[in-house]
Amino acid sequence: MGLTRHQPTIHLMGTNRASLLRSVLGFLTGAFLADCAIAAIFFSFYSLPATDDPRNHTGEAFALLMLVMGVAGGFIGSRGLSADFMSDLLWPVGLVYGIVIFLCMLSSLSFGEAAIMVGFASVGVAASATGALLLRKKFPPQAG
Amino acid sequence: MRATLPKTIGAVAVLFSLLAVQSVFGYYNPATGSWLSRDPVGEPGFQLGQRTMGTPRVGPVAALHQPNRWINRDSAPDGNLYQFIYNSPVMFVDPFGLDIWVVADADGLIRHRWAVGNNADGTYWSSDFMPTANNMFRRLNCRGQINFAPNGSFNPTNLTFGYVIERHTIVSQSATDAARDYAKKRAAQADQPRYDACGNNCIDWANGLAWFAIGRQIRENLDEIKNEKQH
Repeated sequence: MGLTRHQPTIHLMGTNRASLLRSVLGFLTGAFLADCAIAAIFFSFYSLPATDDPRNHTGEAFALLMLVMGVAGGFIGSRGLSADFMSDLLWPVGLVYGIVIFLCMLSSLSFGEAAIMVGFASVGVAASATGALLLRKKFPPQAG
Repeated sequence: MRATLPKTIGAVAVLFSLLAVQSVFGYYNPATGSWLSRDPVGEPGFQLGQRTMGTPRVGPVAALHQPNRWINRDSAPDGNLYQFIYNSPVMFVDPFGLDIWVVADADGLIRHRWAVGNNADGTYWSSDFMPTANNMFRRLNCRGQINFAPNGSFNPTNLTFGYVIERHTIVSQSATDAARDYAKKRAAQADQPRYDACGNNCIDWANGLAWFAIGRQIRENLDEIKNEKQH
């Protein structure tokens, strides 16, 4: 009985939220914000090697962060711009953390190095999620 | 009655396991300070250590290892029994007596690692794996290059600033020799592996050589035990 009574509400909230345009805009916004935030924080703590030094892996770490968090931030932004509630972002954010930790394990990073990478990922996640939610507040989705 | 028997056996087993702590090579009884069974490694670890290192080693390996007991005192000079494993008995082990190290640069977001082993003549071999691309995005997956130095002066037991020991695995000289020969052969091959920042990088290469030596050592020990049983 209860399910039948709430069904129209669920139907209404689930429609016209994730249009292609909103998804694409959300993706681009999230990716841009995540990469910008990570780059800003990264260069305040580290610098890329001036000369080509194959022993120095800072550039690789930065490139990997930009690529992974570009996609991850875009994913979060896309979900955030079409979200009904803030809690809709929980599983994308959890998934992104899972992927980042998995990549750190795949790269055989030490705990300290992995913690720094996860810290940078957190900056990107926070930037993309905040940006997408603010954008959603400014341009709320049309129901119906 | 029949149901209580397994419970009794189980309880006795639990009590026994509380008294005896299983170490790598058998059960150790902390109450008596001795192992309940003979260390299967036995003397070879000690003998190899003496022959190849020349001087007594720091730590338990330096002590004369007889079946079931040490007959002289641990030679740790400052009384710190964990010095020989850099005060980190969780991260480092010293089961056999000789060395292969994974050394890392002290600084950097992702620190470069390479493997170092001893040649038994006071020199050390080293091997590392580096990307060959000069673009940071291309370095994520590019042609790699294995560098092998057969007789270096880099001494991992006396490190200067700028380097840290990330891992120190103790294996026999023959196992470090096997790892050295493998690294040398691999470095000479034309089709060196691709360097992949996420899957096949300097960390994997250095740790892979250490694992190679451990695997070789375990095989040697098993062969030795098998031969002892046959004779």
